[in-house]
Amino acid sequence: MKRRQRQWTLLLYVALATLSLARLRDLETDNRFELWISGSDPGAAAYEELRETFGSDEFVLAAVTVSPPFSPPIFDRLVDLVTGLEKIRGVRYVSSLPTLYRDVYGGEDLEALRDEVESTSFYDDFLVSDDGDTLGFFISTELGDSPEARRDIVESIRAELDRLSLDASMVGAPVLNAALDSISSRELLRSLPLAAVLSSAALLLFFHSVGPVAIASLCGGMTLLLTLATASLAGVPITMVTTATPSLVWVLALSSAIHLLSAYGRQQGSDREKAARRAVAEVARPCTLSALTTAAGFLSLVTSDFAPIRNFGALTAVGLILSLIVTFTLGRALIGLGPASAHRPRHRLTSSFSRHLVSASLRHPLLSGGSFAALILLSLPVLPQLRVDSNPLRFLNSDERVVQDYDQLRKSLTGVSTLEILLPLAEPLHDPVNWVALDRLREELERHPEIARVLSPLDVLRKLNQWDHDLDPSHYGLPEGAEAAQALLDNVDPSLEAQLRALVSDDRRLVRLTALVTTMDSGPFLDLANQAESAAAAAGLRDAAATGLTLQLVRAQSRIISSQLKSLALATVLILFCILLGLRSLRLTTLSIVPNLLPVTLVFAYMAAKQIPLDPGTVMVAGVALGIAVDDIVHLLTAAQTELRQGASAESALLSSAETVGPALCITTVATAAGFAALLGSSFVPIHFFALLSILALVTALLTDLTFLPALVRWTAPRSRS
Amino acid sequence: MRAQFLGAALLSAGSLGAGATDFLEEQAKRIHTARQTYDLEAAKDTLQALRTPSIQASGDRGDRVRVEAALLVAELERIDFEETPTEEQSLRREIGERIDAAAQEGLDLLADLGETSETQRIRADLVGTLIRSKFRGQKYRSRMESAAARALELDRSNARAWVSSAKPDLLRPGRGPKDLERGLELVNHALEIDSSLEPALLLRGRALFELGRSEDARADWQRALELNPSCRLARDWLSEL
Repeated sequence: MKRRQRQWTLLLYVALATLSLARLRDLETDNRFELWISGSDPGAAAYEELRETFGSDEFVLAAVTVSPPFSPPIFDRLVDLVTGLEKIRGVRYVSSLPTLYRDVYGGEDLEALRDEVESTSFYDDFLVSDDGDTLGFFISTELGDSPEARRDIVESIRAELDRLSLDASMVGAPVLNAALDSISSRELLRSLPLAAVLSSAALLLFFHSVGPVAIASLCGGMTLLLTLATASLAGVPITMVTTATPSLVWVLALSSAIHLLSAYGRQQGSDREKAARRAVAEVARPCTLSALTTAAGFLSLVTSDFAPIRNFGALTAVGLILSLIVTFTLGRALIGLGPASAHRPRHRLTSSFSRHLVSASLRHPLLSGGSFAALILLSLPVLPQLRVDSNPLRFLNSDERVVQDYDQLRKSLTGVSTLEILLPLAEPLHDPVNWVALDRLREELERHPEIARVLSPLDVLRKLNQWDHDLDPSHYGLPEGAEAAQALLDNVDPSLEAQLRALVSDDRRLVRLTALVTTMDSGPFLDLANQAESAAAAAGLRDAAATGLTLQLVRAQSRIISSQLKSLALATVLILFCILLGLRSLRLTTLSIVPNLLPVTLVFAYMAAKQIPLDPGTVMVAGVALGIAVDDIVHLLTAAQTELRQGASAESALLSSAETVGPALCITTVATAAGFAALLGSSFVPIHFFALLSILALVTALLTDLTFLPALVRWTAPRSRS
Repeated sequence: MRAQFLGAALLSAGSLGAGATDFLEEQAKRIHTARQTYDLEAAKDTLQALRTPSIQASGDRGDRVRVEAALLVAELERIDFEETPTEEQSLRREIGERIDAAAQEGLDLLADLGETSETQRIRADLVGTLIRSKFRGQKYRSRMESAAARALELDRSNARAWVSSAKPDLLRPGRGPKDLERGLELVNHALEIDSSLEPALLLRGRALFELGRSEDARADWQRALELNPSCRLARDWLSEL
């Protein structure tokens, strides 16, 4: 590369870095659950109908613990809270005892309110706890389309609670979304610098020189900037899944740079330009091939049903392609600045390590193959124990405030998520013909230990009837007949109107039962939904549909295994295709895939043994692990192929390859693992496990490639020669 | 404005006869003046003065004046209550307790007085001061309505009883045009009997205003101001038109 060319290249990258930095401001964080749900999901039509008829089913439930609860000064503060909450943009209404105290009791007669609360079950396990010390505030929200609107609303609610110094817990989808957004941003700022420091330290350990580390870091940093700018341009948000992308792109981008730097370091002679040209010629093909195979592994995730995973796969694949371009332009421009000897890795240890393993494998192919087969066979029995978990709460560490709030609210008050049951009625709700079935269904649901309470429109009708009879608790029951019920519904008290409208359609022929559920685990939740539909049918309520945001989320994620298999199949096909193109040898292509069965199988076996669930993070591991793990094979086989073409035997070709590319493979594995290690401290549990499993896959892949691949090549070599 | 309306509409103390003694006569006059000038402190002083044992022992006449004073205190406190912002809950509750105490004092005294149209009318108005929320509306509405109905049953020419019977329709929270029309009819009855009845004029003006008939409302309030130049509510409402 001529001096002028180098200058222009550097100038171009300075300009690109500046432009990319400017774009970063537009990168937004968005963990809305809608992103996990697709319009083509089963049950999507019922969910759409629910939202169209009753508006948003998203709510924030705040539980405030006060003692003694029924005292005027405390209720004055709580009324102040309700008034503050109602002023927040996006809050539709607030159902709570203080709201009732203000609107119905005029801020007086607290004892009468207490009598009212204690006289019927209407408020139990929803607006007041069993011991009466915890009061619930059901905040119905209209959240709008932007993630900011959701965060604003949650922050405003939290600010109101803090303003009054109340001991409060908050739950609900918007709260969880806001927490995920906040942690995503925090994670991005935490994990990336850590990944940079750890991988740079690993590089420094091998190169013993700042120059190559600086070049690799510049290539990694530039790739990262360009990738994030691409994300910003494409409108891809940072989610709890894509929060791992920057660290990942950084470490994967180092890989090509390490191979280029190692190759440059291997060159002899004082002509830097010539040495750089030779280094590029040496590694261009394997680097391109390995970048393509890794990109293919990530690209396979675009078949996922979940947008955040699709985005993660596509973005990281783009990052890998960019890393290739950056390495062979910016990296190429930079390596010529220093002598080749300065880039030579201290590879005595890694070189002898690689050589010894390959040599042992060639000497004891049976032992090597037997160990490989044994490990695979030992892993198989535990695989059926793999389980799926889609509880968004489990995505977070137990010390996160939102997780503690969910626990606290579940213990002190009621359910933390809702299961909605949509019930079309042949006759309008006020017709008594519906009442027995609706009550039967409610009773059936409330028998379930995971359901804290069911909100039914008939309970509102009962309350209306009681209020119509001078609030006499003995009249908390259904009215005399259709006419009386119709009159009550026609003249509904404004303080109960919002609650009624949330449960009954305008024509009163579609009603909704809302079950407050204490679990968000996918298995029990799906069981509940099925039981609810069966119970509705048994009660004579036809065409009942269980729905709701949580259920849609659970349903979407229950397809995680099929999604995983799809992505793995695609990854395999894409990777094989890339290798075939690169090596132009069907035999080597086939050989390249066999050793990778072990890392993938071991990862799944480890997950099953350690009860690590398949979730949005871990579901990505197989495809990604395959993509990354195959890199080592590509580099080994490319080097061996060159040796073979020069007439070397299979054994000596492999030993020679282990010596030349072995150190680089070890360095990239350690540096990549160090980068992944930065994600081990992630607050997102799936990302933590993703990092852990990826490290496991990387290390296993390297060891398998150095121990099993040579044995495999040796076995198949005579046939190829013939 | 609505708060004042509620208070003024309730400010409808009656005309129990003046006592035989000078003291009772003097107190009756003070009540009349306090009612004209909306002077709560004077009304409270009068009620306190009437609580002395000698007055308590003076029989029905003393009780009647005291009931009148209690009603005036309850109604003037009620105006204060309505004018206190809802954010000041503690203060509103304190005022509410004073209203309840005065109203209860009046209702207790009424229990020992013979039944007349006027005692029933006062009973209705005293119960009316207790109704400050939907809950209390549910609790006391029928008691108020039956007292007002009984007052009219006993004397259909009792103009103030017509006003009392209109209040549930005109003052009920969330009232609609139908309630207002029905209440208007009842107030018109009162004004047919006594065209210079100040509370009836104030109440009708307010109902007309809410029905969008501002000019008719102005006429009623101007007439109330002519009859009582100290009528604070009429002046306030006219200035807001």
